Amino acid sequence: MNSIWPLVQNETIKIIKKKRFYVILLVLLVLVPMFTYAQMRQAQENRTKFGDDWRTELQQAITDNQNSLGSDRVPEEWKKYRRIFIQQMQYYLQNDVNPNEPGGVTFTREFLNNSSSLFIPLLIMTIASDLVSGERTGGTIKMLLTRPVRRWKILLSKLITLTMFVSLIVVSTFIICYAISGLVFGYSGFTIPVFTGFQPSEAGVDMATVHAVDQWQFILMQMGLIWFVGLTVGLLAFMVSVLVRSTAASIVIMMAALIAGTILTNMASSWSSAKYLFMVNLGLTNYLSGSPAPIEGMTLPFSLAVLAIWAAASLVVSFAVFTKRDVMN
Amino acid sequence: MNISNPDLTASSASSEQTESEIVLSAIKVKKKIGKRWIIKDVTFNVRAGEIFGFLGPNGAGKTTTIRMLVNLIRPTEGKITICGYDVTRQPEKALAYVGSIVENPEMYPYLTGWENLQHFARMQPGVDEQRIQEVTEIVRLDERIHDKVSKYSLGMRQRLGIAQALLGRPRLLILDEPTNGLDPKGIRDMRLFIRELAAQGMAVFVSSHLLSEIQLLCDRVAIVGNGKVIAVGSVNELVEDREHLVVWELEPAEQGARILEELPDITVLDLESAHLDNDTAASLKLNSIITRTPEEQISTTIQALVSANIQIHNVRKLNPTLEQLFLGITEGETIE
Repeated sequence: MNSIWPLVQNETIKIIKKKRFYVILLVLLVLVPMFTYAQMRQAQENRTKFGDDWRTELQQAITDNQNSLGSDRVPEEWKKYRRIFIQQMQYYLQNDVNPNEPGGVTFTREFLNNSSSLFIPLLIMTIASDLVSGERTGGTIKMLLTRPVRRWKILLSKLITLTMFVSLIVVSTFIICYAISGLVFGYSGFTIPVFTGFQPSEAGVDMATVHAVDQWQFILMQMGLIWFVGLTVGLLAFMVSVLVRSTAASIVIMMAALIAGTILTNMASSWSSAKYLFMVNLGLTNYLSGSPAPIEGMTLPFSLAVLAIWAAASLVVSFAVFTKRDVMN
Repeated sequence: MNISNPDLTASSASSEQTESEIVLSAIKVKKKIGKRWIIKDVTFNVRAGEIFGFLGPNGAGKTTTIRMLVNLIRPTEGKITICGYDVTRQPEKALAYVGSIVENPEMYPYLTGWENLQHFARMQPGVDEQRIQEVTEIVRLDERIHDKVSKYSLGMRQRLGIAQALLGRPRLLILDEPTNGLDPKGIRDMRLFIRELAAQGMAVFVSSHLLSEIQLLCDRVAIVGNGKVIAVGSVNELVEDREHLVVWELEPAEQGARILEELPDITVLDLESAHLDNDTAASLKLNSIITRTPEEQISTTIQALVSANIQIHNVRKLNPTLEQLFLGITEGETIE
């Protein structure tokens, strides 16, 4: 058996016939309309308050935040976030660009921005956590490994299939988001300028490197980063699925790690070595939009490097264990 | 007892020899898990065209050994070769000659039978749609082959498992407890089917804890207990080594038993030390006397009894079973 493609074909058929991918699409088809509706209600509310004038709306948001800076009851940390937000909004106002220009594309950008650290990793886990442990739970691993194919090849075929589905999930998220929100907000907005390149500094934000890109470019960059996050989480879930016999256990372990990540990003700012954990580095898209990093010293290249190391390590462990281990049950 | 001597040089090239070629050979295979030796010494050869039984009680190491034969478990020591290829070192060559079902025939329940076969066909060279059609006809599953496996009965899954095992035209078929969960008709069908495959020159390796099954099916047998192969030989060879038991039904029984005890060369046994299988034990009457009696002495013994005015209601020679044999060999050994 020389070619790996028949094996990849097998794995793809299994994922599709097991209806894992349909579940993912279904989740998107249910959740995206919900978010769209929520966004629509918010837009309506703002319109009744400020009319069609987004400048007044933005100015109001800036003033609100500025007022809260003077309050003693607001923690210093929040103030820092708010200062950065104010600076960014002022920048948009000065350049006469509406940061929340309504439209399907803007909605999609916002959705992608918020889904990178938890939502899309969860979707990917549906597939990755089951890839090997599913064969063990079902006992089919015995059939799979007693065929005249080297074990590393079987694992590689699963890995290639996983990579394909990670890409497919990221693209499907974009398509479903754009298609559904466009029904409500319209399908235009690909060329709206979006500012990126905000550098966090002592004073708040360093504006020197800020530049405008078209919104489609911005979304493309987001999707690239989300793909990388997705692949890393996918590889980690894949490793857990090699190590753990049951799919349920494998999903729980990864869920716990991801949720620990979202909790840690909210409270670990003083525990600086937490930045080497993979789960606090999943919000890559925040670097694009200029939100401050959860822990001092985290930058886009840093996070990319941390994720790459975790991904590489899980690959090594997966292959080492899978090719050597005795299949006892 | 004839313990077969493994031929270390035997390989696929030995087909010109008088005996048919060795398809599967296990030499001094051992497996240590943790600190415990699960498999202490397993050595045997399986030749083309023979049905080889692997017999032992549950927990003797049958399944662990089978898993080593198909590279699911790596032996700690020893060597397993299939058609001359080392299973551990060249699994992709060795396993190409093997079709196997380890424990239950677990297939993908969410695929149809046909899709399952396609799946495994893609994992080996030279298996096309026509071959898939062929094997479904061989196992007589053609009517339901396009149904989802989740809707199959256990017997149908068993047949699909065998179809899968036959896909690559193997020279060695490994079946782990193949009649588990089958009804009596299914068991008979399976037996005929295995014979048919062996008649075509395939080597069939069958494990079982059912002694009667091995006796009915197999040409040769290895008896395992406690992680060791205790004996290897043809079923007849192993059976002839044992003494014959004779059951007497006499009246009056006590007097008869006394006469039997007094005769030379005859030993009266109690039920425990006779090692009968369940079926035979159930057929005994309360006053039956079991003796170890040389075959040529039976008629003189009858004469002695008649002249002592003992009525003889029944005398029968017990066919030795593998169970008696097995119990005799493993006597005193306990399962750890």
